[in-house]
Amino acid sequence: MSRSRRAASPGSVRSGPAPKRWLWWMFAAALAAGAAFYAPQISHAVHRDRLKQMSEERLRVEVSARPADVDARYQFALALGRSGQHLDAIRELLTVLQRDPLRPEALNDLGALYLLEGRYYESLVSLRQALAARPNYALAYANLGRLHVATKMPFTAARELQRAVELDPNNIDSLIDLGEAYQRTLNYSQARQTYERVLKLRPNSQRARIGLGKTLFSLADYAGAESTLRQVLAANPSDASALSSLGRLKLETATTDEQLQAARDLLRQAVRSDAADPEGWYDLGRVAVKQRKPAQAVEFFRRATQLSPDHPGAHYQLGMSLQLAGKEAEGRRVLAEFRMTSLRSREQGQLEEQLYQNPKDWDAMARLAEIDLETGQLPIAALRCQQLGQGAPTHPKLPGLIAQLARKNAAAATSRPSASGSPGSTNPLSAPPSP
Amino acid sequence: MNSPLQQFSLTAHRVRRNHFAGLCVLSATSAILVGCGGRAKPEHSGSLLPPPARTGGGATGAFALKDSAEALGVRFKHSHGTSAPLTIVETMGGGCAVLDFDGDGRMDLFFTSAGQDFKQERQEPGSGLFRQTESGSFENVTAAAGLTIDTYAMGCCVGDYDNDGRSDLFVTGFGRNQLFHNLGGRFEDVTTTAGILHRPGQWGTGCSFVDIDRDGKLDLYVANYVVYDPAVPLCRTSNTMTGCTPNRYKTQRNELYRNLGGGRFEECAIPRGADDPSGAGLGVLSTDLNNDGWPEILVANDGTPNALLQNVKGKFKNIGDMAGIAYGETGAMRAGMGIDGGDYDGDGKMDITITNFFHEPNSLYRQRDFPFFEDHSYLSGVGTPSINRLGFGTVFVDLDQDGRPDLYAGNGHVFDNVHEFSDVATFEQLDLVLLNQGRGKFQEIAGGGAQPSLKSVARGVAAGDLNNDGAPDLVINCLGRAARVLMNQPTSPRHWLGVSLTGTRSNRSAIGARVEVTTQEGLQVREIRSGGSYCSQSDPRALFGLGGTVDPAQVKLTVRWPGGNRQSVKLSRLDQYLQITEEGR
Repeated sequence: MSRSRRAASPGSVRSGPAPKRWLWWMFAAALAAGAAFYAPQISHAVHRDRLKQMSEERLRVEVSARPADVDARYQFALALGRSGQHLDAIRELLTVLQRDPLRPEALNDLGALYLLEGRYYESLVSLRQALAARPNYALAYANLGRLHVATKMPFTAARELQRAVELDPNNIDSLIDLGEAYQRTLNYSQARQTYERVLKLRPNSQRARIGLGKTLFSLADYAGAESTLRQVLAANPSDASALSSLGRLKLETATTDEQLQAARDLLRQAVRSDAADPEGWYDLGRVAVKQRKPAQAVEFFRRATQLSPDHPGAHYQLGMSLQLAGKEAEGRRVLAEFRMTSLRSREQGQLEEQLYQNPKDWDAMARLAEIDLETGQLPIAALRCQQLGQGAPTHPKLPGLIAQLARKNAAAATSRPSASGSPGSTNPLSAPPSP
Repeated sequence: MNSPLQQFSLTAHRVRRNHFAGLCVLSATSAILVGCGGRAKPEHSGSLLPPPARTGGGATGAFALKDSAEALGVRFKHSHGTSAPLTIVETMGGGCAVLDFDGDGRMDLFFTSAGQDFKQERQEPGSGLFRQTESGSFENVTAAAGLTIDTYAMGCCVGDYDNDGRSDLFVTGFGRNQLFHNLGGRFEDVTTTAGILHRPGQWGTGCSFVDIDRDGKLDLYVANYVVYDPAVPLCRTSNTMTGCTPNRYKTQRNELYRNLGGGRFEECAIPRGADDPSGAGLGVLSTDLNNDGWPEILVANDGTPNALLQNVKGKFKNIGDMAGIAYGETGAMRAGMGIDGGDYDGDGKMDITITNFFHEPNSLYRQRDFPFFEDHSYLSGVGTPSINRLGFGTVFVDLDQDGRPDLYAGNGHVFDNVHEFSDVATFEQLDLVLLNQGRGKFQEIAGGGAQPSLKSVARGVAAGDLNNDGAPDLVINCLGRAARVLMNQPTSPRHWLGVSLTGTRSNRSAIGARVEVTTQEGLQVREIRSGGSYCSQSDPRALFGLGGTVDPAQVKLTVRWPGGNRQSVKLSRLDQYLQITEEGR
């Protein structure tokens, strides 16, 4: 019956008992059918909600009691992951995926856990599988971006994070990571816009505020940078990151001894708040250089390089300060190593650019793997070898790379305690089991 | 439904980063720049150049830089092709030279121009030679002087390589370099007969005539940039395609040509340790950093460590790393473009400035005790105003004649479409004038050029006293735009002294000579140099502003010739160009 006819005679429904009864039965039948249809799903949702409220121990009991309950196992895996038991969490997720191979959340989480464990290839495969199962899965793109940050592909990382933010524009974590990716690629204008967007969405995000402060600093907006960083310190006066950032700002704008001293005071506060922050020690060293205290500078730079062995500025300044402190031979050695590292990083940047433009540039991939092997970045080398093996299995460099990787892995394995209980193969070239 | 793991900010929490590279800005102060006195008529006769008429002997140091190219007849427009966006080859621009090619005592000008299409072997000739006439205006004499340059030209440097008393010209470029022998107002291309190499894919940039072995014959150093890959003309910056940075390409080694005499050169960079294969070379500076008489060579490298080639009796060792000039303070390989040397703090030791990329401060390396330099970019006040500009040509030049070298830097971005992905950077930019305040500090003067609002895309910058009035002027080659000639017009001129040298035992151009002037106000040091800045050549004479000094008896002038001779000269009056010939031939 058409709407117009019903509208034309609205009173007819109410006029006789027969249609009313008929409608009532129809409604009851539909309700019954709906209930029958939705009951399992409702029950499932209720069950999942209940599982989410459970502690790790309750979940462990639940999983023991009902080993086939995929939801329980999944929640248990998350609980394990949250408490830092990554390997156990991975094992649980692999079990989940054996039973439910196309579960995108599990694939994404598995990718995230592999990334935390430095198993980059497995992470890449899992995240790609998550995206195959759910093509517009923003969080998988975000984790893919984080994976590329970890594997020193900053431009590619920015691209993946951009995609994540396009799909989920209000995800604070993805936005902040994108801001950092922009900073890393010296794209300060967009970094600033991204942090400002976060602060509109979440005005109390201190991480975004610190990122904005650093970005404004890079954009030469001193006043803006200082005011932003001071807002962070107003909320938390001992925030080490804000203190060291403000200290650096003061250091780099200092033109008098008094200003240098003020920078030094801030940086001292920063390392008191977080003695594990290499940036604070590094900048304290730079202050000492400017104050012509090379021995003290050496001490600070050594501390920074111990905390962050890849810190280019600390290595460079250490070499320079050693020379000024009279340790010329050691200084020259440190500087020679630094030069090699710098030129290698230039080449890495060049190769990444090539791969960014053409992901199937297998020669670039092979050279990157060589550099990773030279620099002891074995997990990243394994990732590149895997990608090369998949994309260009007959590449002439591949056998040599695999052999070298195996040798270096074996050497590394003998020099560290065995990782017993690690799920998956210990062979770095092994891919995770296909769900 | 999101799981907590999906929210992990994994790497951000794991990786501690070296936060930020650069710093901030915007403390422009304004002093100066008003008033235009009448332009002094260039005067010259024989070995003693009479001074221009002075308007008074005040000591305020005020001056104006007036853009006078059009008025002086310097109508030159750089050409580089029309790709959009510009590739790296098209965006690097060219240099300029202040030289006296006809030996009349008046400085002439030369500008390089690239051409219409760098992919072609030969270009329509566009480089320009401008002769200064007696009236002080300039006339284009390129064709008459036989200077038909059909290469995609870039850099230039000047020196009398055959000691015949005439300034010869070397022109670098993408694809080919050229050596022009000065026959007396006319030039002859002697590239091939002189033994200058033509290497496929070569990209010559900065150059310098320098007597590396002190044999009295000028050798030649040529920086090379990168190996351009035509398959990769553009790269992605943010979401926009732009010309690539040099990091996308392999670097080229540099060349060193030893002068064999008889107009012949022999390339010997590798055996002499001067090839710097890992550098993307642009600006070249030859200067005697340790004052031992053996000139060092420095190369501003783009995105690669700057080179300091220490001269050890004619052989070189790259000590840039240990000296502290290879990198920025944070260990970052900056994008070195232009370079110059000067003793900005009056301690008798040469300091170095290098211009860098946008978001990188221009570098000021203060010489501590050779070979050690300290990065004083920020401490000196040079870093902050330069951070949001992309610097190319740069010169130490005493614009206000107070006896302290100031700094001029020409600026302009390399990406012509930078506005598409940055709301901070612009293609055209203001130049930067930093006045030396003494005690190692510089202060920016608002408005880089004559008109504060005039932005351009500066590349080569050269300094020279075009009208012989003792106030140094500036010449700027701008990418794809009209050249600029900024005439320095002191509103309260100070006394000055110019020195023009002729070597006898040393090379005739006296390149490598060190000229020291001591007054009650302190020591000033200048060197006679070839090349420098960004692919450019400044005035081959030494010019000293004398600040408050008014009595010639208070001025002590000493020349240390490239061959090692020392010669003191007594002055009877100031405000003149002294012609000094090396004694003891």
